Amino acid sequence: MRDTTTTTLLQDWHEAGLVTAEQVEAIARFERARTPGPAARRTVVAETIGYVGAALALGAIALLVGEFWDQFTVAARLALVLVLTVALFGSGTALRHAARPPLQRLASVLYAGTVAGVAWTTGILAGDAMALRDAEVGLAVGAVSTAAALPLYLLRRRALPQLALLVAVLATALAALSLPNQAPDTEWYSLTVVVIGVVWFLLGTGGWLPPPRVAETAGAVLAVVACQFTGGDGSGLLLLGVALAVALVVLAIRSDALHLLAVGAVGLFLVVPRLVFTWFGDAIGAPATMLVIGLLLVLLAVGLGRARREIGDGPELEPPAAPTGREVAS
Amino acid sequence: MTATDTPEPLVERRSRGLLVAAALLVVVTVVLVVVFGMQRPPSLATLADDPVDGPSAAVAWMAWERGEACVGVARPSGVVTAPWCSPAGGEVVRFSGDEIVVRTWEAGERLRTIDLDDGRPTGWLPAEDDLAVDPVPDAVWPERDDRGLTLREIGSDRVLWRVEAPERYTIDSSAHSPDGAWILMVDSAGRLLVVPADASAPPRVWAEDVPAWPVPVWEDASAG
Repeated sequence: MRDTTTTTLLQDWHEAGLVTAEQVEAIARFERARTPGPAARRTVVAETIGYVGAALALGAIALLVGEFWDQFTVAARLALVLVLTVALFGSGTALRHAARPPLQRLASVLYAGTVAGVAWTTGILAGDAMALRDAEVGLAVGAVSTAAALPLYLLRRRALPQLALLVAVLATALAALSLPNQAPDTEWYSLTVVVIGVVWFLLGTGGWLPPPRVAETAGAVLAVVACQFTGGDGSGLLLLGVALAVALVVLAIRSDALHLLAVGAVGLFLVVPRLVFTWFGDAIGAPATMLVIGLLLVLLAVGLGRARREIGDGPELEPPAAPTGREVAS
Repeated sequence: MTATDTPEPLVERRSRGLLVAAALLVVVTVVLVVVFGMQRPPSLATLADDPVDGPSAAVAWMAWERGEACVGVARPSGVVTAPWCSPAGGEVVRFSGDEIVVRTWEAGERLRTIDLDDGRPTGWLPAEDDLAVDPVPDAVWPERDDRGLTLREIGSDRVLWRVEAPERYTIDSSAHSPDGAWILMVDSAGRLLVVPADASAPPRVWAEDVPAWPVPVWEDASAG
């Protein structure tokens, strides 16, 4: 197997005359600085412990406030949540330009918390103050959260603000479906979530929703999982789920995208048994279902292996008998 | 250097094609949901538009609206009023002449009387007055098949109404009028319907946004 570590590659490129020794040194220095060492790993562990501790503390505060929540007036509830939301937004904005990665991540967490705070504030306003119907409260919460999450995401195009926006969009769409007195069947809710997932995936792939890998993964997971929630027979949605999962696998093989392969393979594993049981009931039983999934996964593995071999067996570029890096530089 | 030798740009380009595809997908889904997804209840005439040969008694219920529970009264003419509301909630127990008896939780569980015309609370009933409300037996039995919904009167098995309706459309509660001539029904769209018990006419819509439970209470026109 070919060694493709950075050092080896740099040596190869230098010997092929593509880069100078100085450039090799500069690249190596840059990569060493980027690679997390033991100290950086300790920082990540400390950061994780910090988040877990903060989550526990917030949970305890929520429990304490929850005990007295019913005794608060609407104005007191609003004031409490508004102060919290403004504090989150202010802290996130203050840290937005911080250079250190842990602070950048914290800014994303604070912005996601801001969206949750806006949703909570809207819920109190629409539900407690205006006494709207449940579906109307849901729509108000979703729409206002989306309106808050979008500019925050545009300010900070990271994973967490993007996911906050996705949740807000989902909440808006589902609440809008529940608005009429006679709500649509479960399949329509599922189809809506599937479409939002696919749209998210397309926007991610198209470069409109950075980071693209997050958008692709979130969209794909959403679309495949939503196909599971069927009201009655649900064969149509399950078939759609199989089609989406297969499409993801094919796409993963073609673009060598492991994250899509994982979603597609897990999706197949989830959807196929349900489809088999929907069509055949107990007639073929669990072993046959497992056989179908197994064969599908074997086909998947063979396909993936062949694709990798094709990529690997492609026309080998002969390294040119080029002058050394120093000669190139000169 | 040929065009194929041009290296991939390091900065990702945005694909307008995928943006358009995503937008189209959203538009198509919205159209599909609006056209096929929304379940519309069967279209019916209202009692207010067609009050001839209507019921001879009123019906009352209590429904939450904007943080208050309001008494709703549907008159035989088709007119619907909301004479009294309370943030404490409540339940209509019975008609009593020109008043209505309401169970409230304003000062513990008690019965109070409300003037039907001006909504003025007229007093409290004695504590020994029975707080219990007799359960109202259902009057109709909804049956669903591929073609739609069929309503049969419980007891006589008479078909009261057969209608093509969305899959989830049904009748949630129903009650005979005291004289047995009429049946009120609350459908899954929250509409109060009224239909003659002899099935001589299709149901008419009496009021909107009526809760199915507790079942709306008939006025006993023959009493007192």
